Amino acid sequence: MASKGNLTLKSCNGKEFIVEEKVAVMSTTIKNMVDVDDSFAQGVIPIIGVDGKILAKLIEYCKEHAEADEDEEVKSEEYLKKFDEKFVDELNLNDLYDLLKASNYLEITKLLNLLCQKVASMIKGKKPEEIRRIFNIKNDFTPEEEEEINRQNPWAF
Amino acid sequence: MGRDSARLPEDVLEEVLVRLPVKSLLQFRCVCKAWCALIKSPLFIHMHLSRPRNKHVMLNRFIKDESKSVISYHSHDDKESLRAVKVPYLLETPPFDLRQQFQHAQLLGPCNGIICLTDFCDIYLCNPATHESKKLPPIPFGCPEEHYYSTHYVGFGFDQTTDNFKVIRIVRWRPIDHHISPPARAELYYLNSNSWREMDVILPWTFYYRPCFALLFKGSFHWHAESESSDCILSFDISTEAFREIKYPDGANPDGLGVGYAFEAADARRMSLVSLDNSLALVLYSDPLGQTLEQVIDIWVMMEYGVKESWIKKFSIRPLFGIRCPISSWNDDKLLLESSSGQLISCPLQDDSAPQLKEYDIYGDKTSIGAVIFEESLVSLSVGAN
Repeated sequence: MASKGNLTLKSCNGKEFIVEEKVAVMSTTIKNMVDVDDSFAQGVIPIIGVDGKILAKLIEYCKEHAEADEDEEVKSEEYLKKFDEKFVDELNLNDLYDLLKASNYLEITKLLNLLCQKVASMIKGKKPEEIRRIFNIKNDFTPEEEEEINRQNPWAF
Repeated sequence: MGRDSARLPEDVLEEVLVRLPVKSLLQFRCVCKAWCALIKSPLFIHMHLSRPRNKHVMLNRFIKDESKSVISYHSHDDKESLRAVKVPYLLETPPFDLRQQFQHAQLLGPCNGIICLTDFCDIYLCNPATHESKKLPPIPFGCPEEHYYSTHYVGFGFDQTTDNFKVIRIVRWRPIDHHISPPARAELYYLNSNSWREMDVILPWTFYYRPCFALLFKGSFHWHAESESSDCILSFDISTEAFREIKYPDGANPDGLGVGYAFEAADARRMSLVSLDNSLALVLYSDPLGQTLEQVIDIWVMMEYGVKESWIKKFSIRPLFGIRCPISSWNDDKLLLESSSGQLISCPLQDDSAPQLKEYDIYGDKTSIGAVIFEESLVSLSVGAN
């Protein structure tokens, strides 16, 4: 059981993390749970669909940002910018997607924005067939339909 | 990578795609039907519009050696240079005769990524990023016999209350063999119905064309006008369709220059109306006729929109040398200017004893350079698409 001011988060594969409340409530979803039901603040908060590895990453991010929000002098804007860059650069594609989905579900807006921007820069300038490969998407257009779309803006291709 | 991990929830996918430039989004329409539907959806177009987007500079100028006006489209991602990018077909081969400089081809806007191009006869709306363009239908109202139709001003904007682009033109029916000037009228075009309506107003103002003065700001279009008592900025609210006079600052016209008819093209360019840090601003140039060695540009800012007493002189940029006229503001921190040799230059917006001018490799004939700075968008000119 977490001591006062701390919360216990439990991943879907049973790993428990004790984190400071200010770190955990960077997630709007967790904040709402704690605000509405006091028993969450005492007991264990299950984080559905997020495994231990991803949850540890989320906590690492939230910790840095919660501390920066509290004390700007220790962690300046520039420090955070560097931290963010390093954080996303070190992610492999699978983790990037899993983190995206987790930060969306947990409503960690800052992280969601950071990750969306990362994916956007990753796919900018890529060809449609590469996009299909990256996202594992099946092309459901007939060749005629695809040609019609290409014909509308030939200069864009 | 596994199939499941590659599938992003739709709201996350939206958040990713909305951060992409228009060109990528146009390409990505053919990834699959779901992406195509998302990128074309009015909600997505609106989301994209509300985010910071790529900025471009569009220039029109007359090139003497080639005896033609050209419109060019430049990106400035790196801020240091203006790189030319491919222009839409409409702009590459302007639809009307632009061989004569004083035909006043004018670029107006932008508004939600749309610009308006006119030679004061035909009017086009164009989205330079998607290359979509539309020629407005001709005016259906006949001019009385022995009169000719002359257009003073064109303006346009988007009416959020009715989700509609509107174009206004201020015209006069002039008798062919008289020198009298009948009152001006206004005609309004609505994109949704693709039709013109004559407004039931008589405009008491006189209009003198100032090429760098037409400005869409906070939902109203603005031009220079003169009433019997004084000069003013005339505004037209695109939503309410009401005209309003905005007074110039008292101290802005000490030498009387700029009042009345501008005899020289450079004089007509002495004043430029711009938007600066979300305020209406007036750029005043001291020496349009090139009579002094050192030149000054004063920037007056209207701190509270429409309130004459709120004009303040915010910057005085001096000494300047070899400037012909101001063109426009750029990114709230500099001005675009035309040099006396017809080169495009920029100047930082600050009180400075020696402003650092930056030259671009772009030239035009005397007083011919015009500029519109716009953020690209997916906004469509097809009726009902937005």
